Order: sequence, then C-alpha cells, then structure tokens
Amino acid sequence: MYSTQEFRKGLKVEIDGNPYIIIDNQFVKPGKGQAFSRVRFKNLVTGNVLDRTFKSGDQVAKADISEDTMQFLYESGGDYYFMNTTTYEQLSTPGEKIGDARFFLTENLECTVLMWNGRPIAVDPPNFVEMQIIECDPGIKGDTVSGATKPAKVSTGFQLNVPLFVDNGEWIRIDTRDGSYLDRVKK
Amino acid sequence: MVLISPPEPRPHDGAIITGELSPGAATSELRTVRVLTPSSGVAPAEILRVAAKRPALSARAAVLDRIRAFFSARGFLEVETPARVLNPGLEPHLVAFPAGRDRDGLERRLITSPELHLKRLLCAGYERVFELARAFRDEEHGRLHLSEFTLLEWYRAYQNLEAIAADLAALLPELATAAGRDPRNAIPGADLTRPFTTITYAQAFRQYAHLEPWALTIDDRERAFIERVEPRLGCDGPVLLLEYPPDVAALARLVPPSDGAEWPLVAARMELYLGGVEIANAFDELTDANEQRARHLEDQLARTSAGQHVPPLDEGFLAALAWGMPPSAGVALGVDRLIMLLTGATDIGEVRAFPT
Repeated sequence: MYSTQEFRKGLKVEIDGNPYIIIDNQFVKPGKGQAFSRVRFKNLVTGNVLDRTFKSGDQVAKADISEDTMQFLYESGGDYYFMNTTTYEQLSTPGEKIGDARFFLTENLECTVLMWNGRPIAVDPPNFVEMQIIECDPGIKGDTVSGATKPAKVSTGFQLNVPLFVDNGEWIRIDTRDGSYLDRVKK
Repeated sequence: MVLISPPEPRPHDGAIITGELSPGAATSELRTVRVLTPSSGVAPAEILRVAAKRPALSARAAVLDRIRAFFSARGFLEVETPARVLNPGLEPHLVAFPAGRDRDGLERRLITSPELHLKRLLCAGYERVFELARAFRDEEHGRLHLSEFTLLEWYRAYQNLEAIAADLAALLPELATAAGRDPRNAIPGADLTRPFTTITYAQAFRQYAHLEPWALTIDDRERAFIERVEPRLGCDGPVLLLEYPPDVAALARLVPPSDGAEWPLVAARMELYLGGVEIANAFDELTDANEQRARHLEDQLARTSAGQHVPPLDEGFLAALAWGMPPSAGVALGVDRLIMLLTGATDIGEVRAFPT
C-alpha cells in the first residue's frame, strides 16, 4: 500500500480493480484544517482520467505492474506474439489492446511491455524504428529541398507522409511518438 | 576520445575585488585581486537553479523592504520572537519539528507560527507589533506548501477585523508595485486596487457547493470545501471569507452569526483569498484565559487521540492572558505565497532561493 505521503507523479496504483498512474498530485491544507491530497490518475488500460481526493494518511493499493523488455515475434490472426528477453516466456495479446504501437512492430523489435497482474496492458516501441516502404510514388531524384511530401505505406500497413525523394522499397526511420518520418536509412 | 565541454561561464567570472587588505599593510594600501579559482567546468544543478531565480529573488527583497516600510509608517514595532519554543502551537493538524532541549532539559520545538509570543507582547502593552517570522511545519510539501516558510504577522490592540481588512487592502497594492507589477492586473482577475469583497463561510458553501455546511460531518465539509469552495474563492478579485464554523475557531473569539447560519456561534475569523489561494488568516483574538485554556486542553486531547506529539500547555501565554490582553485583532500572511502570485510563479519554491 502507498500512503498519501508517498504519492508522487508516475506512481502506479490500483483503484476499484483498475491500474492507474498518478499524473498530478496536489497537497491541499486549508488553514486550521486537515491535509488532503487531490490526485489526478490516468487509467493505464483505457487512458481515462480520474480525480480523487484523499485524506492525509489514506492508503491506496500498489498495482502489480512491471515493465518488461520483450521481443516482438510475429502477428497471426490479429494476435501479437512477444518473448520476454529475460525469461524467454512467450505471450500474445490482441492487436486492439496495444493500440497504435502495433503499426511499428517489426520482427525481433525490442519493446517495453507494461504488465499488470501478469497481463500485457501496453506496448512501448522504441522512440525510433526503421521500416521499409512497400508502397509509394517513385522518388524524384535531387528534390531534397522543396519540403513537399507524398503519402507512403510501410510494411505494417502504417501510412505516413515522406519527402518526394524517397523511393519505394527504401528503408526509413520513423518517430513512433508521433508517427512522423525522420530520415532515410541505407540498408 | 572523451570530449570535455568547455567550462560554462559563471555569472561572476572576471569579477575582481578591489580594496582587499594585504597582511601587514597600512589600511590605505589596497590591493586588487582576482577572486575566482578555475571553474570545475560543471555547474551544480542547485547553483543553476538559484542563479535563474534572480528576478523572483529581487522582487522578494523589494516586497520585504516594502512590508517593513508600510508597518513602520503606521507606527508598528518590528519584533523578533523565539523560533525554538516549548509550545509550537497546539492545533490538531500541525506537526512541529523537534528542536532539542533547553537548559532546563525541556523539549523544544520549532514554531509553526509566532502567534503565542506576539500576543504576550500585546499583554505587555505593545499595541501595534509585526514580525517577519520563519515558520516550520513538518509534512507540508506541495505547490503551495513548504515545510519552512515566511509568515508576516501583525497585531492591533483595541481594533477589530475591519482594521485588519483595511491594512490588507492598503498593503497589497503597495506590495504589487514593489514587485514591479501593476496592482490592477498583477494577479489575473484580481484587481488589488478595488474594494475587497466579503462572503461568509456559510454563504460561500451555499453559493459554490450548494450545501449547508452545518449539515455535514467535519470530514465531508472539509472535503467539499477544498474540492468545490476554495478553488473558486478570489477568482474575480480579492475575497475575505468570514465567520468560520466554531470547530475551526483556533484562537478566534466566538460571535453570533450575521447571516442566518445554523451555528449558535461562529468564529470571528477572516481569510483573504486570491485566485483560489489562501493568503492570510486573521482573528478577532480570543482574550479570555479560561476559554483559551479549555480550547488548549481540547486540542491536547485531540492530539493524544490522533497519536500526535502533545506539547505542554503554554503556561506563560495563559498567565499573560489571565493578567490581561487588550481586545485585539491580528493576522498571519503567507509571504511566499503572495510573492508567488505577484511574480506569476506557479510553485512556491520558485520564490525562495533554497526551498525546503
């Protein structure tokens, strides 16, 4: 259990059977009154925000949460398979549970998987991944300054805009936090 | 190869001291010396933080200067009272730091406010006193709380809360100006030059929480207060919150309510709010030694049952009251919080050089 004195941003707790992370914690103590903590939580599964007020000394359960490094193995029938790189255990999770991260998963990619009570609830790919373009208009040689872009599709089906000089079949680096093109990679 | 980044320039690089004495020289022979040893190259994070606070610390110094000038011009005497005391304040929700023992072997604590000694001065015939005191409260940390902070307290004998309200209304615009801000818009939405509005505790509850405060348990009432009432106070200009429930009277007199509240008596207590932030707490002071002793005994019981440290009764203070304290009004103002609002800071730690 965590008591209010231990509350701080980033702490992971369990409330009403759901895992939450503290995103804001305000110590409040009106003159001559008792102390409270006004806390804002984010549900780690749904992303919903929850506001609660606690009396100083109240306790909240620790969430059984770990961040494990896992290697993405393959996708099959909408399920995504991972292997824990420490224990070599394998697990799978439906694609819709891991959100946009699934667009950036390529074979053998090492990710951070958020585990709650032994279940994966979120997958964090590295900030930058290298992916191959499988569909786009031919590259226009030499056009590296115009700033114009064109749509492209990478191997996972994810679509993004790339500069005109990028060619079909080329490898590029993508920032997974916003899904934007970074640069070309020689393979 | 390891790359070493060049030393960061320090604010005082190149500074020289003129006028240092060389040993054995006549005082008229002054040397000019370079002061600094070579930089270690890496600025400590604490030093960078405090270096960046110069505008806030300059505003702070100007505000402290103006406070002294304000009260001196009004005939107040600046006093300094002890920081290590036998009784640091008995209010049930305060936690005082231990401060060793005195020569008699008695346990001392750091003050949570200078109140009990300032009132002794009123009993001794000092009719207008003020103090800029460092107060200490353990277990208080947050955007609006430091465990070590500066309280401005002032007291007026033979006067009531109206005089304190007038002081506040005159003081705040001056302090905004001292901080380099326009008092009309230094604090968003709160024109400090306009008359402060007043609202009773019960009215504020009805208006903002749609609740009758006496119908709630103390816990529920305090929860509703911090969630629904307090954040709204002083958002359209300075607000004075009046007539507190009798259970949070602390050292205020009890008086009949003026607004049809269902408490037989309410506390003659007044708080100044600016932008949802509590800035000052004032009392029409309790001067009855017997009632004061009874409240202190009650506080001791509450502390005992809460498993908190129980300081002895402050017999020196009670004896002074029994001898005679003039009817008085007094107020404690959170200097750091006010400077925070006046400088546009969002965390109280931004306006102290070394917040703890």
